[in-house]
Amino acid sequence: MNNQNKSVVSRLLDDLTHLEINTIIKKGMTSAPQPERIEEVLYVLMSNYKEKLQVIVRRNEVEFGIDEDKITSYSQLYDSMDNLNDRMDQEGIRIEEGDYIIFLRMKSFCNYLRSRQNEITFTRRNGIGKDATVYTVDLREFGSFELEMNSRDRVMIKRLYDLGTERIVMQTRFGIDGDVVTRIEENFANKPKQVVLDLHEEHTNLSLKYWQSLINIVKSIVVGIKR
Amino acid sequence: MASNDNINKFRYFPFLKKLVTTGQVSWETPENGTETRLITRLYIDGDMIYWHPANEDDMPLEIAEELRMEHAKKINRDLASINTLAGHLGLAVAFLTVLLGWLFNPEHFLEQTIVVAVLSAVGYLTRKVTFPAIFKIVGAIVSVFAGKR
Repeated sequence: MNNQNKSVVSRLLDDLTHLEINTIIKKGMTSAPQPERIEEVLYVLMSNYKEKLQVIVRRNEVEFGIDEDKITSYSQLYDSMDNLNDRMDQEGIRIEEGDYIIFLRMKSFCNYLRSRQNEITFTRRNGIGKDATVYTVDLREFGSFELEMNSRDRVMIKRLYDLGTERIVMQTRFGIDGDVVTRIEENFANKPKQVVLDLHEEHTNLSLKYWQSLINIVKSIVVGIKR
Repeated sequence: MASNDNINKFRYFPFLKKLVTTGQVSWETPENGTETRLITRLYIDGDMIYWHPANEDDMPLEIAEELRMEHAKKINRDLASINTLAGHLGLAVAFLTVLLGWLFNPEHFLEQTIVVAVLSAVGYLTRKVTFPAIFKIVGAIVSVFAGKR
């Protein structure tokens, strides 16, 4: 097994050491599938982030201009968010908690892409600059290039696409060391709905059941080999 | 028998194949006559997202108990197939390791001959079941390595 594969396997195993169950409240839910190509997934996600950033700025009445047309890559998006953060710090502006969580999620995803820019490579780059990376590439040109990444990155990007800029009302995290943390959004906690609490619990149990099955598979193989 | 039925028809295969090849699998349960639907997505590392429908004021909708049960039942059925697979894998690995360990012991020349003969006979007699199964397994493995997404 080469080093890259070892690293992917070890990080996949690392992912198995914790579980995260998110419950999202969404209106006008349709079962629109994700875009087929990962490049398009990145483009659509960035467009959603830009749109949300505008909404956050407007809703919280922050005097900060965002020129959506000038944001064409995640690095530019990150810079805009960084500048916005500085402005809020200087002026002591506190935005709504729900918005701040989404703001942090967007920044965190940009950071993720920045940290992975050396590993995620191009297999095709028609007219794309030689120095461009997944973090700096102009995503409006998503049809002109193809990215190569490991399955862990692919799953991570798809998951972040699913979470998008949605409102997560409940989140439960399990650690292999036994830590269990459940976060409940403030607005939802003030007016909880039993049906959502029950469904979140049900999904938590289902996710644990799947986790247990994965552990059983590994255990079966290890025990079989040990014999 | 449910278990044999599962082995022969490979009911767990589409679900597992999708999970392995795309890294995620979704369940969607629509309510008849309305636009309400419950959507759950499971990722290969065990993380899960559940989307609950909201009304125009962004407040969660009430869900009929039957819809909720139907949704949970679908997910449960598919997840149960992983446990079945775990059981099959465990048995297969245990059987193979014992068999190989025993066969590679040079003192068991006679037993080696008998085991190979018996296995060949069993393989021949069950070819109608085993061959399609092997082809399906090989097909799924090839599609995984071919990066079919």
